[in-house]
Amino acid sequence: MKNTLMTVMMTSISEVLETMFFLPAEQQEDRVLSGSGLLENPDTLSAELSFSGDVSGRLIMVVPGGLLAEMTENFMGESTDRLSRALMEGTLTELLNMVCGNALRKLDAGHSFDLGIPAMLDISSVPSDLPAAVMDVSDTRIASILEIQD
Amino acid sequence: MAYSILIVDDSLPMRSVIKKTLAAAGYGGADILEAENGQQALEMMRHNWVDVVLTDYNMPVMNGLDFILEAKKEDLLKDLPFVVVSTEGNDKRIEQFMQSGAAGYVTKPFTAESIRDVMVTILGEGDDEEHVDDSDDDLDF
Repeated sequence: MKNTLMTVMMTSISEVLETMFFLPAEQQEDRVLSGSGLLENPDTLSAELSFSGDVSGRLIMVVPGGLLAEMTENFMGESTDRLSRALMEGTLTELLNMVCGNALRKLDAGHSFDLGIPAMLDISSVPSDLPAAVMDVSDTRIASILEIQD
Repeated sequence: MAYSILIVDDSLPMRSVIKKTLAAAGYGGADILEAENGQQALEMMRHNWVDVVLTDYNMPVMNGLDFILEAKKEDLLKDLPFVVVSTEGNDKRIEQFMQSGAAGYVTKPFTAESIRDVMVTILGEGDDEEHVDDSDDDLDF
């Protein structure tokens, strides 16, 4: 189930990035987050969203600040110099919300899920030793970690 | 007379995108009110004229479903049309929304057309039709 869910999540990330943020995304090979280069960037931000139901877990997304500014600009139609950190964080949590909602809808209709409230996650709390799905987006990369409860 | 539209969503960026989408859909002349959750929205609706409510489901303090159910208990608010704009799109959840009295449902990510369709059904055509943009630009949200 985890593999199916991760595949659906990756498809969903691509769709949401393209539809709402006008950014194409290309998936790289999975790797641990510590090998992605994202943790070395001091501007990198992360957020998490829990879900429960037939399968329960959480999705964590890790995005560099520069890309998040570009995403927020595309999303809201505001120029980057008018963007506050709160707006950028709101964009990241909304991205996570749309990715999870869109992905869980793609699963078989027989599955039932409840989404939690997305929240910012301190980058130091992100499990850096777990496999992460890394995607190339706009000359940089983002990472997603899917944790499933047993 | 301009419509008064209340947007209820805990995400500031999403409220901005919905506002932009409403303008692209022909409702740019509407007075827009904003609330971050159901409880704040109820308070706002008790003191302001509102023609239609666009509400998210997943919100802290009071979610969209509880918000609609609470509003339906109040004589002043019970006949207002509520449109749920949410990432939650499974059949069971949509059925819950419609049974609670929601007048429509739009799934995120949405297009301006999907917002426009539900708004036209409820309110009729927007009051600034000259702003309706039928090109592909700005329509795919």
